[in-house]
Amino acid sequence: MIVEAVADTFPFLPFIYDRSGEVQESAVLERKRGKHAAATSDAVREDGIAWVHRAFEKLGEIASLPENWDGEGSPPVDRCLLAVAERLLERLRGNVEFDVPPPEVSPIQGGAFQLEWQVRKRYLEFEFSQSKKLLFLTDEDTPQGAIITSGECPLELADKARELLSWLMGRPTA
Amino acid sequence: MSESHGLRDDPLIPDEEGLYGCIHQLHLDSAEDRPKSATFKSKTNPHPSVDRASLSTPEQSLARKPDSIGVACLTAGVVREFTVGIASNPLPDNRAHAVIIRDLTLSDNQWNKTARKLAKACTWALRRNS
Repeated sequence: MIVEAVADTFPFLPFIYDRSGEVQESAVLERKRGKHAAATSDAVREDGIAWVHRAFEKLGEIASLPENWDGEGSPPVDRCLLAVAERLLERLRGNVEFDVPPPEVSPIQGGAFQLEWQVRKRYLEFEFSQSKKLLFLTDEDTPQGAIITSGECPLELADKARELLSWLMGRPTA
Repeated sequence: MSESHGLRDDPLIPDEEGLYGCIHQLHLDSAEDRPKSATFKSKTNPHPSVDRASLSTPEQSLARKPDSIGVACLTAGVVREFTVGIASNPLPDNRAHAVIIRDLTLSDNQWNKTARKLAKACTWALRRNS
């Protein structure tokens, strides 16, 4: 039922219709158990692209947030930004060969949103608030304390997003 | 030089004073049990709203935001460490209202670092019973 709702509110997600009933059901059950996206899990899915499917589902959930979802008059999440995120995820699905946990997805007041990952001591955030730029933030707990960096890059450069995901997963980066 | 809509840090708010912020369910980092950085971000209102603890209680703050799951707290001193400061901004129905002053000369990605630091510094003043 949730998947149907996602399809209704977020019709430009083609693969929603392609997924097997079993996968959809398990995602629904996981939500019912209150088990949010495994963004903080050390466990990594064996299917290297499963995280992209989950990210799309979560984008579908925030796409259905109504006007004033925050009680402070925020507009709904911007559909154009959702489409931008979808395009980036599609690119990453094609060129990230390693496993990544699904991100959490959080709306930001005013129509923007962000994807968040926490893997062991590393945190990564992608903010979608502008149509042409990806804002990113990294945070790593080290013995010397937290090291937080942030930046931005053109959205068409999926390589930067891939590099950040490599960092998140502790893989060597070029 | 900072630019903040003419808002200035209020020296009458002591560093020890708590500042309450209501947390929306979608802004709960359930793994860390703290607010997410998105709590302190907005594309329409650059200066996050808080309530002064000297003029409100967590219960009163929560009552003003029925959709919230709880009330997080930061001290004014911590907020000053990361931002321009805090400005009192009483409203007709909330005399405790204040805002965290964002330096508007900072880029969004610079502010994102601040938002992350603020989120990590939060403690819970009150959790709503589910």
